[in-house]
Amino acid sequence: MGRKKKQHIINDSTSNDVLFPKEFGRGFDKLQREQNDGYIPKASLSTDGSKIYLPQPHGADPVEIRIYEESEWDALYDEQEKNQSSLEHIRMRGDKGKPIPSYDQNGQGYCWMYSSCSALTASRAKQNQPYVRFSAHAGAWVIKKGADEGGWTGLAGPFVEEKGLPTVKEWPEKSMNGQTYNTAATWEVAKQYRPTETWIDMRAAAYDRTLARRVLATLLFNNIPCTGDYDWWSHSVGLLRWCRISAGSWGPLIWNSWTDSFGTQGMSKLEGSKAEHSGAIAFRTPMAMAA
Amino acid sequence: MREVLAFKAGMAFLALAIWADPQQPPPAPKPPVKATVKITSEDIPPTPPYTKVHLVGDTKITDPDALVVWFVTPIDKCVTEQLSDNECDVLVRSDIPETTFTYFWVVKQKGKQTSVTPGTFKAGKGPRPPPPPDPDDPDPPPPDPPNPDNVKLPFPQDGFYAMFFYQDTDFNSYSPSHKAAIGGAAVANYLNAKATKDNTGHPCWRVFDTNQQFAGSGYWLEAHKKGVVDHAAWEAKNPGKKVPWLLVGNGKKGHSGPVPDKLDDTLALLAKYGG
Repeated sequence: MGRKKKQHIINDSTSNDVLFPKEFGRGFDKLQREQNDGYIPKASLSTDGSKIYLPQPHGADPVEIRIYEESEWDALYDEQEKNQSSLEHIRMRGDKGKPIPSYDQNGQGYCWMYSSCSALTASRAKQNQPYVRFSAHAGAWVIKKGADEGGWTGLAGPFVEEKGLPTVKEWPEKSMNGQTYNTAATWEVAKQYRPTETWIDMRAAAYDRTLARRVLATLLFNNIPCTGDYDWWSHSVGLLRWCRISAGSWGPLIWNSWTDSFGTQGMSKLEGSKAEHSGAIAFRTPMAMAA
Repeated sequence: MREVLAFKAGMAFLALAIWADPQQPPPAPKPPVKATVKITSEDIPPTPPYTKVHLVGDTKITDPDALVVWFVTPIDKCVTEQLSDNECDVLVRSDIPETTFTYFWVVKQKGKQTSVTPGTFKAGKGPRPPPPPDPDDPDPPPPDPPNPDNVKLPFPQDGFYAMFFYQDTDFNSYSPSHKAAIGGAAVANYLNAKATKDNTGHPCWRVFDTNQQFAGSGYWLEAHKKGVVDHAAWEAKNPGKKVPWLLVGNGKKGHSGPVPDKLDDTLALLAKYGG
């Protein structure tokens, strides 16, 4: 995303089954993580696309997550509306009962890191952890060695999972002054905000790391924040919810990094061909402060 | 059940089958790692009484590709925490009847199980007998009634605190009421209003993952540890049932148990401690 991007066209006629990555996923078990040098690209889908398998180390039975059928989406959406329980609702009360502000990438090509920031922020809000404002520029600056360049969410995700992100206290928001702020102390603080469980297809190249549409819908109905790259937009955004646009029409509720002035308090629904993502990752569990 | 426990259960079964089945002895005739295991234990006061058994293998594993995993059975009577290749803590409620536990110290190399070191230890002392009557006090006060809530407070500090935790891979199987409890507005609004505020004004309630990792030490970590032990014990008695867990307390009394089946009951339970 941003200025340098790889064209990755999604054909509208492609079926969900074809869009399912055969394998995706990354680390959910510290022991396994250590034994595999940090990479656990083993989760897979059943052949009928009805379940996600999360294999356990060394042949134990995998954990299964059932993927919701499209016929279930209406009930799930209505349930979220009734209980005000989606990530959209949680974000709107996540800062001591008030909305968590949207990020602001300030016109630079770091949207691919801001999308991870938004998703990580949502994952903390889901846990009612105190709102902290992450410095997306910090991660993008380090990856790009100070250059203002585009990237993909599949590039940002593994970095954030390994390093975490500092807050704007350690690395001021939108600052390109890495010479000053890119210190060991900054990244030591960042560690405490690391996501410890994610799903990222580490088998694929960074620009091809994605989640299938029905997988994405399932994760969002389960309040697992995701990110999405959109080729038509050359843009990457956080994803908070799988939304009913109209009867039978569904798409993601995005959380953009263009301040709260974008859409409805920084959020908007994508529909039709614009809802087709080219890259996606999921942020399951963030690190928490013990006190 | 959470992923790690499910994995350990599966592997413990596998290790037990290999150990017990004379048709399938451990595959390595000459294990590369000889091991003896040193066992120490300590009682952890005050209540509920726990015994922590510390298992220590005596040989350092030098092969960087080796995987060492400890298993302890019966898994429904203990919780294990592997500290390193050579060390594993086992937490057992000491008021259960004396039970023989079997541990397996499994070494895997190059994708094959190359060594299984089984052994046993005993833990559990049975219910504590009442103290003998004091001959100088013919009319002793009656014993305290049993506490229907958990006797160890999840949040011993002053103030109203609450913590839910659940396994996100189980989310599909939760009831709408459970989902509403751990993510809905009714509980969030109540806790935002009633929970103790931290020094930034943020309300002290959380919704963590069963596998939550923490930075530093403190009351969230301690409460989570207690909850995981209680949750594992509950699941052992209720096999196949998957529920989110709730710990709540106000410094004087507390509760650790499954999230109630009805949302109104969850709110009532919170109100019992938060007013």
